[in-house]
Amino acid sequence: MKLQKFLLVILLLAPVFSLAPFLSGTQVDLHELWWATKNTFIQSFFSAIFAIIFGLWSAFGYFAIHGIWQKQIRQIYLFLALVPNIVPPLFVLLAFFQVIDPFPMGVIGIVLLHIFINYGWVSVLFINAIENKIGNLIEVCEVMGCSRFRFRLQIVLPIIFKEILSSFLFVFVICFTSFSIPLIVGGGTWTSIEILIYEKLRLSTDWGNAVYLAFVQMAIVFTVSFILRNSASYQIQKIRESKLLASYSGLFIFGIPMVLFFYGYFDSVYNGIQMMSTLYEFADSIIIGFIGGLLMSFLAGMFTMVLLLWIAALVSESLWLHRFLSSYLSPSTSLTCFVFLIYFLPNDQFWPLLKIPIAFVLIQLPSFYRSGWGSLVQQFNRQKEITTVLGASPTEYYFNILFPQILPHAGRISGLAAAWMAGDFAISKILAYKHMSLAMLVENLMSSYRFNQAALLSLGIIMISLMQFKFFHWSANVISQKFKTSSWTV
Amino acid sequence: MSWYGLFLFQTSSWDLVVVVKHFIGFLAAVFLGLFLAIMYKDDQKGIGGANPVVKIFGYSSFTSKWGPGPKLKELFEKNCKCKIEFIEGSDSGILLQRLKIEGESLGADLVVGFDQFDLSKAQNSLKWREMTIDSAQFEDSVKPALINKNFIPYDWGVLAFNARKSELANPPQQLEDLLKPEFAKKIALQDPRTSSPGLQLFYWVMKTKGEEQGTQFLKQMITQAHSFSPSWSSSYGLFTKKQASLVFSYVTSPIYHLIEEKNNSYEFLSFDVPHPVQFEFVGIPEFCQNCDLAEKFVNLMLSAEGQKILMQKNYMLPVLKNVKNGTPFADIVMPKVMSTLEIPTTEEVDRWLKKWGEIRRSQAQ
Repeated sequence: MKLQKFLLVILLLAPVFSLAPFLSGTQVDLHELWWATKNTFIQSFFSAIFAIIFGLWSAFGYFAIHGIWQKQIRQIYLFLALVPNIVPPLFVLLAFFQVIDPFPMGVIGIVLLHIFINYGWVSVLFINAIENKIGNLIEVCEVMGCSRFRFRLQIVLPIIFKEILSSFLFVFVICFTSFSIPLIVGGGTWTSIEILIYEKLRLSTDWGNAVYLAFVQMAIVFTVSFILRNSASYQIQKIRESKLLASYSGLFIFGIPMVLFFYGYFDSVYNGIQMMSTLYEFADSIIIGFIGGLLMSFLAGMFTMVLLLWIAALVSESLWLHRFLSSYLSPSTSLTCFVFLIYFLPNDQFWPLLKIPIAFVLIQLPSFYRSGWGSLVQQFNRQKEITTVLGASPTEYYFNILFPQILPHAGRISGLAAAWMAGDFAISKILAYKHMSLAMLVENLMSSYRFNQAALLSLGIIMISLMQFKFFHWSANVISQKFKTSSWTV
Repeated sequence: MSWYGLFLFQTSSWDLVVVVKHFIGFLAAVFLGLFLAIMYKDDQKGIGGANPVVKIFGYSSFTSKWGPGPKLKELFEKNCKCKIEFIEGSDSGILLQRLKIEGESLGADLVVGFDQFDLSKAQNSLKWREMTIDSAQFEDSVKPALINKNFIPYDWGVLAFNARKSELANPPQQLEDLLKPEFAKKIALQDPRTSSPGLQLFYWVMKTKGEEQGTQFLKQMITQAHSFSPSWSSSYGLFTKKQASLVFSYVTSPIYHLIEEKNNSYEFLSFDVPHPVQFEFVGIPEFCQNCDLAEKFVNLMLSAEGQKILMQKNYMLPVLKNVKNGTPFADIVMPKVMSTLEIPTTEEVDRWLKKWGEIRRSQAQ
C-alpha cells in the first residue's frame, strides 16, 4: 500500500518534477506577477461566489419540477446544466454577445461568463448533496410547520455547508486557471496568471518564468484549499419530494441564462445547417473526428474511473494522502502538455490518443477529488475498521463493501470527465499531430472562416458528451448492482 | 482472491446483461479497429516499402482537409514515388516548439507556416538549409521577402480592417478615425501576444505613428475596441456574428464570403497609410532526411498550379505573377502596402510585447 501511495503521488507530481529544472536562473518581474495574481484572484473569487449562489438557487429550482414528465424534465435539466461546460467557450461567448448588447467587457464580463459556465453543474452538485444529506429532516420540518425560507436557511444550508465550500473551491480553481474567457472578455487590459504562463511559454519561450508562475499558481490554490480543507461529505439517504425544497424562482434563475445561451447558440447552428452542403466533402474527417472524440473521451472516463477507485482504496486509511490530494493543483495546462510532449510516450501514430486523455485526467483529477470524491471515500474509514476486525481481507473489503457503494459516484464523475474530454481542444492542440477529435475539427473550422459549420459540428460534441456521461453513469450503476447481488468466486 | 475475480461473477441472473456487454464490447472493438485503420492508413503506406515518407510540419489550417495541404499532397504524390505525411501544430508558435522538441527524432523534412515575426526565432532555434528555387516570376511586392535563402515565401496577405458594406455611414479611412465615438466598442481586434494579425496591427501602428504616438494611440484603442481576442478566428467570429462592425483581417477575407457563401456584402477598408503585409514562409531544417524531395515540394508550392491551390484554399495572395488572373483575387483593388519588409529579431518582438503589456497595464490601473 505504501508503495502504491508513493506511486500515486509520483504520478501526480511527475509534471512538477519535470518542470523544476527550468527554474534555475529565472528572473521574475514581481510587478507583473502581482498584477496578474491580483486579477486572477478577483476573477476567481467573484466567479466562484456568484456561481455558488446561482447554483444553489437553481438547485432548488430542480426540486420544483414535478408532474407526469418529472423524470424526463429533470433529466433535461441535468443535461442542460452540463452543456455550457462542454461546448467551446467561444460559442458561449458569442451566444451571450448576441443577446446582451453591449456586453460588459472587463472583469464584470469575465465573472458573468464564468458564472454561466459553472452555475449549472454546481447546481447538479448541490442537487446530489441535498438528495443525499437531507434525509428524514424534510418530514420532521414539515410536521413542525417550518417555512420554506427557514428550512433552506437553517436546515439545508448548514447541512450542505461543506459541499458549498468544496464547490466554491472547485469553481475557484477552474476560474483561477481559466484562459480563453479572460483573454477575450478582458478587453485587452486583463491578464491572469494562466495567460501570463501561456505568453511566457508561447511567445518568449521563457520556460523558467512560465514554470515559476505555474508554481505560484499552485501555491495559491494549495493555500486556499488548505484554508477550506473541510470539504464535502455524504450520508447516502434518499429524500422524498417536498414543497419545502421546491423553488420556482430557482427554476427561473436556471432557465433564463440557458434560454439566452441556447437562443444564440442555435442561431449559429441554424446558419450551419443552411451551409451543410459545404461539409459533405469533409465527411470522412467528421466521421474520424467523431470516433476519435468518442474514443478519447471514453479513455478519459476509464482512466478517471480507475484512478478514482485506486485513490479510494488508498485514501481510506491515509490522512496525509487525503490532505495532499485535497490541496494539490496540477501545473498549468500548457505546461503539463509540453511536459507530456517532451517526456512521456511517443508523439506519433496512435500514441496521442492515449496521451491526451491521460494528460486531461492528470490535470483534472485533483479538481474531481476536491469536488466531493475525497470526503466521500473518507466516510468509509469506519467501515474498513469494522470489516478488518471481523476478519475480512483488504481485497474483500474493497470489492464487496467499498466499491459497490462508491461506484455510482465514480461513474458520475467519470462520465463528467468523459463529457469534458469530448469538448477539449486546449490539450489536443498541443499533443495531437493531426485531427483526432471533433473538438479539434470544430476549432480548426473556426480558424478558417467556417464559423457556422463549426457551430453545427459542435452538436456532435454535445452528442458524444451525452453518450459518454450516460454510459459511465449507467455502467457504474449496473456494476455496482452486480457487486451487491453477486458473490465472488475466490 | 485474485484480480481476475472481478470478472468471475455468478451470472445466472445476468445472462442478458452479459450478452449485451459482449455485444457492446464487440461493436466497440470493430469501431476502434476501423477507426485506427482509417486514421493510420496513410502513415503505414510507404513505411517499410521502397517509397520514402516526406514529413511536413504545418499549422492546422494548412494541413486540414479544407486547407491547401491535402491537394498539394495529392498532386505531389502523383509524380514523386513518395508519401507525404503532415504533422500538425495548431499555430506557428506550437509548431516551432514541436519542431524543437521532436523535429529531429521524427525527421521533419519541411516546415510550412512561419510569418516574418517567427523567422528570427526559427533561425535561432534550428539550423536551416538553403533552398534552390526554380526560376519563378515573383510578384514585385513579394521581392523584399526573398532576401533570406533559408525561408521562401509561398503566399502573402495584406492586412486591413474589414466591414459590412451597408453598415457604416462613414467608414474609417485612417487609423485616427478608429478612435471616433461612432466606432466605440465596435472594433474586433486580436491580442498581439497570442495572434499574428494582432502583432501586425501593433507593428502597423508603431511604424506608422512612431513609438510615442503609437503608444498613445494604442492606449486609447484599448478602451475603444470591442475586444482583443486571443485569435484571429475569435475576433472574426465576433465580426460575422455582428457583435463588431469592424475587424482587423485580410484584404482577401471578403473573397471567402463571395466564393463560399455567395455573399458580396463584405469589404476591406483602404487606409491612406501603407498597410502591413504578412508573408508565410516555408523552410527545410538542416536535419531533414528527404531534403531533395522536400525542396521539390517547395517548388511545387511555387509552381502556378501549387500557387492556385494555396490561393484558393488559404484565401491568401499568390507570390507568383499571373496566378490570380481570371479569379476574384485579380479584382482586388490593392491598397498601398509597406514597401520594405522588416524581419524583427526575437529581442525586438519581445520588446514590443513588453511594451504592449505596459500599455495594457497602464490602462487597467
